[in-house]
Amino acid sequence: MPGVNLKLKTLSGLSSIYLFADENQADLAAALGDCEVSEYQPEEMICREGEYDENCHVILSGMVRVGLPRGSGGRGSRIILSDGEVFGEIAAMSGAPRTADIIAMKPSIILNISRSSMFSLLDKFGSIKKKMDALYRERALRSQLMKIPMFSGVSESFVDGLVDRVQMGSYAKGDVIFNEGDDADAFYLIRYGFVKVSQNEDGKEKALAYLKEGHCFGEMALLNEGEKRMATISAINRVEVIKIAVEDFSNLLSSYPGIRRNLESAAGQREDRNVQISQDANLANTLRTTIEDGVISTKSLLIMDTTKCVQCDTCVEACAALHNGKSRLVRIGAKINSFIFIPTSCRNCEDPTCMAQCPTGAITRDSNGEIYHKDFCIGCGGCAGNCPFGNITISELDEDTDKGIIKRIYALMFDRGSEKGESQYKDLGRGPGGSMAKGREADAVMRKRKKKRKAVKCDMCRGFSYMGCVYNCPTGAARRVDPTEFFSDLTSVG
Amino acid sequence: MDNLEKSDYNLLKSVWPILFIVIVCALLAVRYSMKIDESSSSPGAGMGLVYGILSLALIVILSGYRIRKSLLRTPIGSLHAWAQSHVYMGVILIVLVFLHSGFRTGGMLSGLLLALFLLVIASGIIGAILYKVVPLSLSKYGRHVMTMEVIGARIEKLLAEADKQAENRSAIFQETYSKHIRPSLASQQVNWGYIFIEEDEVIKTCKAKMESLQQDTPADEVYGMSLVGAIYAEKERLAYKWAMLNSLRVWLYFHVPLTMAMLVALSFHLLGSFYY
Repeated sequence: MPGVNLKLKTLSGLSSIYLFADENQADLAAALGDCEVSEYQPEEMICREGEYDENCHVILSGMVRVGLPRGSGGRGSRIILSDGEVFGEIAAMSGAPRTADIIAMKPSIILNISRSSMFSLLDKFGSIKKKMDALYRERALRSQLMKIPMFSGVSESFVDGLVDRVQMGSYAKGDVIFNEGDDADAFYLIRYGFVKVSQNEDGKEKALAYLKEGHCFGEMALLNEGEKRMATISAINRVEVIKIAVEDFSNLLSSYPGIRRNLESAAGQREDRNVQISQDANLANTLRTTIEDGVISTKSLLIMDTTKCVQCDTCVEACAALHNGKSRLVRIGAKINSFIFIPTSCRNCEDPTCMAQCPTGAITRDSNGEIYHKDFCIGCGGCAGNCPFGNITISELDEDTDKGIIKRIYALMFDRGSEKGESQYKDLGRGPGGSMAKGREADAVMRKRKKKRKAVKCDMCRGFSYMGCVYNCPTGAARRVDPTEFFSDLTSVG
Repeated sequence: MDNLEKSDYNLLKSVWPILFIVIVCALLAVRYSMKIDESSSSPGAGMGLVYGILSLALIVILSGYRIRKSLLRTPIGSLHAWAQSHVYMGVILIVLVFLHSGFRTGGMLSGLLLALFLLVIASGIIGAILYKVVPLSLSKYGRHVMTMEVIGARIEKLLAEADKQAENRSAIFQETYSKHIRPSLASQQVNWGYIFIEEDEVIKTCKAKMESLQQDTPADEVYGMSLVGAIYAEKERLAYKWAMLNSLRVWLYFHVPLTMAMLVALSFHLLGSFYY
């Protein structure tokens, strides 16, 4: 737990911090005016590996230690950071979960720079951008390489050498990393995101697998010298990769024959897998739809087993009952195979586009990766318009919603409408696309009525000990799953 | 590959509750057969009374399922667990009630109560079968899950689409359409026969009908007739889904009122028991 949060009023001694040393102090103090300062006691956890927290931190005074990534097998030494040093920039810049635990070693005062403030700093101050890019590159690469099981036997000096030479690549959704038939020039490690592996079959694209963070690709053509790329690799969502040039890859294989053996074995398994996909039409179809429907690149997915669902709509009623009469669940949508159906409900995307343009920062993500709206949402509709799945609705809140405790207890005990979820909201539109137009239309009406407008979406029943839709499904058809685990059969061999 | 394979009748998942029911019923039957005397076979005394009290307790719990269904904000066990218990306890209740009655119908009120109980059980069994069969049948075809409201709206649109296809066609075409196809498209009645067959049988029947109709269609209008046939087939497919979903709703109109009637009869039965 952080100590007392202090509003940052004056920042003295910014020039002593390496990151800020070359910039005008008055401009910096103005740019950092909204940032907060926290105090931590010894052994207090500042960041936890795997959690979502998009702040970048600067140590104003004190000392912290960076725990090793859990996947690294305890290799290497702990990193100690002290006055003026920066941490948390990897998660802040990429939006990915924390890559290591950060623990205070001494009483420490830490400056917390939010992601949006950090990007505005990078825009305004050239020297900060240069230093941050260099820091991000070195730490992100080191942290990623140390996490990959394939590198578990590789010496630290070799990894240090690689860090200086490898390239980092960033790709937007749909970008092609390389095409089938291209010359093989590098080996790739996925640092963040998901990629699709596909081949051309009679002029049509055929998906073979998807790969995720920690997986590698591009080795098949490199292992057999002179071969061309055997498949096309494209980004399913925003992807960051580490690109190891063919010479470095050859050095790695010659220095560590065990890695060659592992890669050859993995390549063999991938080929078997491709044969299986080409022979099993159902599996191929499920793979195609899970990729096309954006199922894979999400953190938590509500699925319904259509062989069990009796379409009683109790899930929808339960959702409404738990959320002031407004259901966030719409039980229509497409099936991804013969029996798994994905209704309209927030998927908690790995790379949430809904959070990109919120003017107030009301839509946020907690440490578990769950996305929710804070109370100060102004209902502008930006998030609803950006959600590619239409899972956010803009609704108006009736004036009588803020009932007193007595009225609420009465409603709970005697008012069936409250328990069953009669609507206190009116839908003003559901993204994407049309919602903005509908929203503008409703805006004028609401200004007259002086009613509150809010974005509503599935919040995984925050504050309840159960998820309403799943808990109230009489047949067990509704389930919340982690797509990467549930559809693990569709991943390729990492 | 478990997650991606159909989970229709996973025997292992249902073995333990069934085993539990069998053991409970066997123990009850053994206990009953060990002591067949006047007191054990009399509903109002000895073990007969114990079976009666147990039956009453189970009926109260079974009726609680309806209450649980309306308490969506109250964490008193998942609805799925309640639904499963509802089925399994219902099976145990059958045995208990017969042991309580000593396999006799008794007087008029007891006879009525037993008859209502059997009707409730029968409707419950039908419901359990429908809950298994209907989702399986509906999940076989189509990529989109539709609510009844969406199906109804789509059926209405199909009639207009077919009418448009039949416009400005020859007299033979118009006659065939209005005599053999339009009545089916315009029909609002639920075809209950559909709940006993598979969806592909419905489509096969549609195809066979359209093939015979196309024989009488002028050669230059065969394509037009095939378009109408496609609309007709889609309507029947939707009508099939409609009938299936409706069966689940209609079933409740039997099971719930019958249960209510049984509970009323049970109240009189209890009052009578205390009075005498």
